Order: sequence, then structure tokens, then C-alpha cells
Amino acid sequence: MIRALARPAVRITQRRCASTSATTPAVQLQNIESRWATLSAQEQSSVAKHLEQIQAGEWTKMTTEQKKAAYWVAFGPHGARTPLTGPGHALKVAAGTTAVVGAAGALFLWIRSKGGEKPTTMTKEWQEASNEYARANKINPISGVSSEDYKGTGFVSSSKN
Amino acid sequence: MLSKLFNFFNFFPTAHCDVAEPWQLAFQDGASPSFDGIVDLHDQIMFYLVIIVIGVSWMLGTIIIKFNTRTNPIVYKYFTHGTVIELIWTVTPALVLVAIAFPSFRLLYLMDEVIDPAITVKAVGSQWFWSYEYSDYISDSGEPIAFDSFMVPEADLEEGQFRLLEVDNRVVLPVDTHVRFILTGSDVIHSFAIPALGLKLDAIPGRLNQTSTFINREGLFYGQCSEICGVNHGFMPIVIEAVSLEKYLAWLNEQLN
Repeated sequence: MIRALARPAVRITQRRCASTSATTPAVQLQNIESRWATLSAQEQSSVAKHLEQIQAGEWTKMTTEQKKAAYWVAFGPHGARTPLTGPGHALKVAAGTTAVVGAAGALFLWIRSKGGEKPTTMTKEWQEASNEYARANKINPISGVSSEDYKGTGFVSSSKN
Repeated sequence: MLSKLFNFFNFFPTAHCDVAEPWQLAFQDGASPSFDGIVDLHDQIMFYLVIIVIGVSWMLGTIIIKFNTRTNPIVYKYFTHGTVIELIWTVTPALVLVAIAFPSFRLLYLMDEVIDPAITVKAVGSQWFWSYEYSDYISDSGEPIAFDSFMVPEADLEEGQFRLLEVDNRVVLPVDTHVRFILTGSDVIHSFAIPALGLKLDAIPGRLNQTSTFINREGLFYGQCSEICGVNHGFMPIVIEAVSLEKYLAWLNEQLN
């Protein structure tokens, strides 16, 4: 199934064969990228077949216009390769995401504003006392607050008394 | 840096869980061989983790940068499978898993072994406190040492003590001694967890679970119930006070008299 999806909309056989080099003058290749969407399925098929015939011949004899058309039909953004989103889509997604995150932040701040006072244990004075308490009880003596030459702030995370 | 940022906005009060220090990212200092084993296993797994993160990031980055549709629209258009690469990305993770699994099993079974304990402590989880019983010691009246351990409310804390972590009765244990814990629950499932000792075991009603520890330094070790057990699940901490054998014997005498 994946292979079927990966198959291009118009399959072009890239065999180099010099035996068929007939061209159909009726098929117009100018500006194929702008006209492609306006063509009927039958016309698209005839263009593709025409290009297949050309490519079956000597590639060096192809004109620039034919090469451009062959490339566009094989790899251009049409059929299965049509972009899923239009221009400005990324901006819309970014704006939507920002709005949702912003709303969540506002909700968080609102809930927090309704919360009670901070516990008394959150004052700097208490937290400094916690450091002393931890040292007295040998808490985290290897790498933490009770270790030798400890440079960190330990349990002090508040700047207010 | 992170701590300063959050403190600047003053969004989050610091939770002193298990006496991890504020915004601590690494482990607490270990105090038992089990915990040392856990840290060793963590470091071993981290080795593979770093290699995998670098390898996957390199592959993803290469694909995104070099093979996107803008810079490389045609290449590998018909490339749908590759046997060699599929073998590599199947066999390599399997080998990595094996390399992780064996040290993990070894540690698991080592921790599971209760080696000739000198002391047995029964711990019973209840909504929402712990009860302890030292069944090895009987008082003159024939009663074992048994007590309940409740959290100390914020209003009763002495300055410097840890909010939501202090208890009225600590579990006192000697250092350098094999201690067995027998755990059960009286109502719902609780979990007896002390990170610094590498202990975490469910206390399940109708079932006795056992685990053991060997505390190798004196100190205070904080833990919390680690299985959601009701509205006050966050308010039934565990405190183990590890002391020298002499102090432990003095404490025992005090309890028995």
C-alpha cells in the first residue's frame, strides 16, 4: 500500500530506447505547470504519453521546454504531490498554538491568584534554618548541603523573609 | 539558573519532597548498597542512552537538512526498502536491550534477596499514617515496641523542619545492620518508599511484602507514601533515623521501659 502511495501520479518510463522518437505536434508543452490544472484527465494523459515517447528517444535531442515539461509532469506539485496546505498555513498553526498556550498560562495565573498564602516554611529565614537542621542531621552529606566545601544555597530558594 | 528563573516569577513553591534539595535534578545521596546499585545501573543505561540520542539525532538531522524536498527533490524517489539497513536497525536495538537487561536483572534479584536480617520492622500503611512494630523486642508486659507515625502539621513544626515530611514518631534503626521490613496495608494499597535507601515496596491489604536494607551512614532519611491512597495520600510521610548501635540500644531501652 505504501508503495502504491509513493507511486507518482503520472508514471514515466525512463528507458532509453532510440526506436520510438515520434512526436505529436498537437500537444502543447508551453507553461505546462500553469495549464496542468485546467487540462482534462484525458489531455493530461496525452501530454504524459507524448513526453514518454520523447524520453524514449535520445535525451540529448530534447529541447529545454520538453525537459522542463517532463520534469514538471514527473515531479511537480500535482496529483499525489499536491501540497496539503496553502500559503500562510504555518503562521496559522503558530498563532493557534500560541493562543492555546497563552490561554493555559492565563488560566494558571488566575488559579494561582486565587490560592492561599505561601506556607511559613517558604521564607528565607526558615529555609536558612532548614540548612542548619539538615547539617545537624547529616542530610545529603556527600554532594548536598551537609557535604564539605558545599557552595550551593541548599534549601534556600526564597529571597524574602 | 532554573531555580533563579522560577524564583524570579515566584510561580512555584519549592516542594521539599524526600529532602531533595530545591530544583535538584540528580539523585539524593545514597545510604545503602541497593541505592548504590541503582545509581550504577542508571549510569550504565545512561551510556547507551547518550549513544542512542546522538545516533538518532544525527540521522534525523541528516534527513531533515540534506534530504528535504527543497534541497533534494528527486533523490530516492523510488527508494522504498533496504534489507541491510533494516537488519541493522532491528538487531542493534535488540543487542542494546540485552546489554541493559542483564545488569538490570542482576540488580533486581540482588535487591530482592533478604539476607539474614538482624532486625525486623513491621510497617502497616493506613489512611493516612504509618504504624510500626519492632517484633524482635518484647517488654516486661509482653508487648512489642509499636507506635503510629503521623505527619507533623505545619503549625507544629519547629523552625527549619521540613513541611509535609516531618513525623511525630520516627523509625529509629542502627547503621551497618541488616534490617528487614515487612509491609502490609490495613485499608487500601500504600507504598513504602525511601529514595536515599533505594526502598520502594507496596503495602497491600491481605498480603505481607518484605524487603531489606543495610544503612551505611547515620542520618535522617525521608520518604513518602508512593501509591495514591486517598485524599491525604500526600500527608503520610516516612522518616527513618539511622543512628549508631549504642544510640539504638539506648532508644530501645527507652521504648521498652
